[in-house]
Amino acid sequence: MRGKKDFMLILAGAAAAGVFVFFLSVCLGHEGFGIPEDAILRLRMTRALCGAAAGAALAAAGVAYQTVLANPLADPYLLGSSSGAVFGIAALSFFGISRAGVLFPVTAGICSCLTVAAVLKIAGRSFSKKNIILSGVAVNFFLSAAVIFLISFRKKEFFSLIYFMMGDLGETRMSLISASVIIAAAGSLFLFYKSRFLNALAAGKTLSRQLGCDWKKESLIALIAASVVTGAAVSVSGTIGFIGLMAPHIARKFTGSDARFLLPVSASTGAILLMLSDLAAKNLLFPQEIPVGVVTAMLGAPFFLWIYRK
Amino acid sequence: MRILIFLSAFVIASGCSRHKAPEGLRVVSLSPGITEIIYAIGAQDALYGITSHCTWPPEALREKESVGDFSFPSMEKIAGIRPSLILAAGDGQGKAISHLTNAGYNVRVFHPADISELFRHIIEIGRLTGKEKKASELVADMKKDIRSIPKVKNKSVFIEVCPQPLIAASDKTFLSSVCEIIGLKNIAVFKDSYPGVNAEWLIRQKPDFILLTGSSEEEFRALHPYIKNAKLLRPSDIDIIVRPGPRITRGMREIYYLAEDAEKKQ
Repeated sequence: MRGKKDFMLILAGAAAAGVFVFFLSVCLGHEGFGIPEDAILRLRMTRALCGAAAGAALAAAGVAYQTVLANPLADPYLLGSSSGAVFGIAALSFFGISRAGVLFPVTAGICSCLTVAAVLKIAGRSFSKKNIILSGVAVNFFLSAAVIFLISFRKKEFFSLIYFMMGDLGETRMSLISASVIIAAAGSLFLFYKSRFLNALAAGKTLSRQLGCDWKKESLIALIAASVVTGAAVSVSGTIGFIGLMAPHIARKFTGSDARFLLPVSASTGAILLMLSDLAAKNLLFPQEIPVGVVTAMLGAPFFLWIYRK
Repeated sequence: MRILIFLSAFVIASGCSRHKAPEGLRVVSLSPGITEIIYAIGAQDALYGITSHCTWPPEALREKESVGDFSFPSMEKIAGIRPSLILAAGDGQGKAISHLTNAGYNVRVFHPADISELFRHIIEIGRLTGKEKKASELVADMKKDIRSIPKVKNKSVFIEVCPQPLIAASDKTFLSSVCEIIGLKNIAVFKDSYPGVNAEWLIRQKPDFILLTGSSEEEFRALHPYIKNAKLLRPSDIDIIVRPGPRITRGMREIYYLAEDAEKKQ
């Protein structure tokens, strides 16, 4: 058993690693290592901020989904939560609303909540692991098709949205970034505040009731918070898969399943994973770019199979 | 005198027969640029189908049947027209072209790399539609027009196709060759025609101008606030600069004047 002091050390280590990777993302470029000129510095800082925020948010959402659904395979991407958010954003684009401000993360959050509700409804009452993932995949397919249908009407944004669906951290509109970061941070902090309940939920339906936790209400709150956080992350980064799956599993190796520690360490791990993936996406074929979602999927899909076989 | 009348009648008659469209010619144009060429050389009577993007001249969309999208035209509509000749642009139409060729249609692809190739294509379209004389007149006019356009001196340009993700028109494109003629050197030297590029790279390259074809100035500034030094050029009508057709000379003139104005503002 690890003591509280050990946990604090792990937490500090994760935070320090996060800061280090942020620094790396800003200073490491195609030309080598060093502080770049002002315009590039700003660009890289914005990009690293988007990566860190989206990665941390997706990881926090992943912890909540995995805990509440007692499903190690749950993740915002596989649950259809991210696709729901993208659908909301595509719908706004369909009506010609430009991507800025609070409206986008909020709409994405609402659509993400509705999608998760639909997936769980389709999966049935038992919440069996395979059922949830299968209905998530089916809803994902449906929503992706719906998004492509919607944007077919708006040829001008077609390519941008297709790229967005593959994950892209090139967002620079500060009003959108700040709104999304605030919502994601607030949601993640709320989940952290609720981590005692998350621990109770992890103990299962019956035991959590004995621990004095209203299982239904707390599960619902945690799922809503996770979906809102996902919506905020998606509205800056597009669909980025598997971060919410990988980060909690990696973090669990260090912290165990106590949500009070698992959540912040996962968030930090998610941020690190996404910033590193983006570093690769940006520099592998410089000056051409690979969508960052492609990099995370290349890492995440084998990881998913590994967890599935365990 | 009689001989003279006879001779002139012969000349007129032979001229008429030379300028008449080949019998039974039914053309489908899958490119807005080609549609413009066909109208400019007066061969529109042989034109039976166009795409929904063929917006110039304005009467084209009214008079001719649309076969749908540029990249994904309706095979059924094309079959319904029973074309004897299909003229395509090539870029972004690979699938449609291979379907049409496999179905046994006579498909000709006109994908000019530069202005001299465009001239050859205009002459060839003139030959195919029996309008050689009008086609060579058009080419002569365009050449004269281009000679009268002033040149910018030693300036570099980045040609934007899509603002996010940032996509460039590389030196392998027609638009790039057109810019080169008026003295704007394209900084995007790539193997692909339309590569996606990193914003950092663009900041480092420091082009004098950014020619916007996929976004307005406001949109571009909002999406790329860190690209400050380059002057943005946004033509009033994108079609006249991106379509390899008879209006390209107007497009070139406009790019030149935009560049000159931007220089003066500095």
